[in-house]
Amino acid sequence: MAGAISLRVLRGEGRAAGAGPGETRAGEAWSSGEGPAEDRREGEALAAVSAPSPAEPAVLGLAAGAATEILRETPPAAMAAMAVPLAEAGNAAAGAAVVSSPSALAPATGSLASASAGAAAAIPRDAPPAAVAATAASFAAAGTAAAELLSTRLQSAGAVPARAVAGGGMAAASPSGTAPPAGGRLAAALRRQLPGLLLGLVSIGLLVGFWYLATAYRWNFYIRFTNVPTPGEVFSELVALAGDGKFLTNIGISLQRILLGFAFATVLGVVFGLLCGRYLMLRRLLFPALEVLRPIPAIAWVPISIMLWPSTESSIVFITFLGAFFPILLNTLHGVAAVDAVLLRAARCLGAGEASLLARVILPAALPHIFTGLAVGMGVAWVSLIAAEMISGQFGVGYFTWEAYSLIEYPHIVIGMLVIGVLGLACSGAIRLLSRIAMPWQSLGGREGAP
Amino acid sequence: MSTLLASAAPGVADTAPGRGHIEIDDVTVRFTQNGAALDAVRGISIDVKPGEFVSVVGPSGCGKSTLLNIVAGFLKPSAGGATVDGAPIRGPGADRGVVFQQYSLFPWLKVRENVEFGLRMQGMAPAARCARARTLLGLAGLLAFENHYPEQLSGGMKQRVGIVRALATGPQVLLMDEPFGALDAQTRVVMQEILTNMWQQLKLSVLFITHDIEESIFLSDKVYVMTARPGRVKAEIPIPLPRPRTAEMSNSPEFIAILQQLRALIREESLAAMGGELREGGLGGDWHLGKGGVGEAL
Repeated sequence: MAGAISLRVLRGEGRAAGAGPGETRAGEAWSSGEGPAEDRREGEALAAVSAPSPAEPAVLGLAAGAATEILRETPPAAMAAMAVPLAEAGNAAAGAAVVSSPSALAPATGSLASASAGAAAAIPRDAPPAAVAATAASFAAAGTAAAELLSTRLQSAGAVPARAVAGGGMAAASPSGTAPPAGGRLAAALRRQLPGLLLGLVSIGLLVGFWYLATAYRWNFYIRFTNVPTPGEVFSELVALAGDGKFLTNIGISLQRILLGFAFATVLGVVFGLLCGRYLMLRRLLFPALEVLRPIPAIAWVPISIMLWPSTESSIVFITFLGAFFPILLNTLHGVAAVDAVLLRAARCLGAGEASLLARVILPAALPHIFTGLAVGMGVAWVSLIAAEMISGQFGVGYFTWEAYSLIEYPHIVIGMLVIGVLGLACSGAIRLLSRIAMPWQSLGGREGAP
Repeated sequence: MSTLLASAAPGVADTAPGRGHIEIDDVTVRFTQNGAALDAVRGISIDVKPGEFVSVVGPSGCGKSTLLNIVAGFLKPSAGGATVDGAPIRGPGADRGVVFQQYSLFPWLKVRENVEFGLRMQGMAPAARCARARTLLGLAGLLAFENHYPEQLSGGMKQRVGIVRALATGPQVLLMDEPFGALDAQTRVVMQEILTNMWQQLKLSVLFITHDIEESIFLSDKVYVMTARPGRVKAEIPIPLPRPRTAEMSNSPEFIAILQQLRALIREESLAAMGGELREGGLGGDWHLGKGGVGEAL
């Protein structure tokens, strides 16, 4: 029902938004990826210059990485819910900029800051920089599109109701996914990782501390924290929600959607990638069409998807699929292109036919690239899922987050964001784990990508 | 050792004499570059008798590897033909084992799985191919490493696995493209001895491509010297040194005489390959012949 309303809004206001492209310019400028990436590089260079020992930049990078981790895993569409009350009323473009910038920043941070534990570890060692950059661009594009759609909805939603913010305790729901590994080497591992863990805690502590100060004292300097809930409020709401069946159902449904969409994207992306990588004619036949569709962010597919698919559920899964499909396809393709020709020759000398070549040589040889695609695709899939849920959904974490805004339950917005962040972390962690299980030869020589 | 091989891995050792005869007959390989036709090799004939160890040496870029690629089935000659035991070569196959210069092991497979690859392609049952791979790895002194990944091995070990893998399907012909080129000098000598051992036990025909003249003398029954591009056969030198050959043999007068003969032949071609100005001018003395002094003393 909310989906129906929002759909009507979408249709009504979408044209109006299209008529005024000036609104989105600020968002696009940020989302080009240049700005944040450059800043980051300069920052690193400064850190390297001013640091007395080479260990220091790494430590700084670690702290920065941990801080951006949770933000990175929160799709910009979810940020939109926060960005809107943050930005000046009516200035939706500023909101779009806020939404776009973390989406462009987070992947760029992952590729540039080598010390950042998150994205760097999620992406296998030999990830092609071009693929990562392309991903950053697609993240940014998705963010911009989501913000555009949402700001359209916002304008139709009417005045933003003000709400008194009560001060709360300093209780922090730390969403860090660092579960200590079980085993005998635990103590040694702990000692080795202790400085990193401590800095990680400091990093998250700083974030929560800033959040507390800003909200408890209702900072208001262009960006307004007056309506943003305090950590305490969020925590007590979270405790209340923990046993709520509806809340858990939302999480379950989001997970189900992402798994379905991602599974389809994995199967189709890898199969098409292998075949197109191997057979030039097929590539020439399919790729022009795919290249036309690829730059279209998955969120831009929402209206047509609703028309195409018989149910909201299938259209949301389709959007999620689209988000993950292209990164997986392209990385598989790169992987096939990068297969050492001498391995193919060796296999043919040993009597391998075409099918064996594909299944037993090309596929395993391309696996590192494929897992890069999976890691990247999982990120984009979450972006797409949350946006789709916010726009056309019933149920799901994205829907929950947006509904919280509509129903003026601001703590729920933050809870929704945190849940999305934690789920995203868990999903990319699962892919990292899977890649280590599937490619044991990749993690030889004592290299470890411990979370 | 050879009885073990024969009992546990029958296909590897059941040598029917007269098999593994490689004939390259008047082969030319032509390709077009920027519209101009170039010959990589021209009118080459090479004969590897069953059980013979034949090396091909020549200046770099003379088409040695082109020759091997024809026999391996990667390349179709523009003119002429190549046969193994009278059958024309149509594409790569497990009847001709190939060892590449780059370690071409599959990095995602453990050592034993690498060796089993060809057997698996033949549809051999897992237990049988495991037993066979283990036998061969044992002969190569690699059984302790059967569950290692290639990345965990040294260069020499990797290349031994490569040889064992090429031999696992029981080919009568082994084609080797500068297999020891990437190894250090000490490892190289050991590998040459291992290869000689395997060759004698399995009675293979070997076509061995190298740029190392001493290596070719040490290993071969016969050495073909190729000219600079377009590659043709410049000379066919028999190596009458007795077997088994030892490292000390490289100081014998016979060895050194052949070495000098080959070096002189190759030197001409290297100079031709590098361009005329070197031939005319100032290369001066025999500083290419490192052991010239020894030769004069004898």
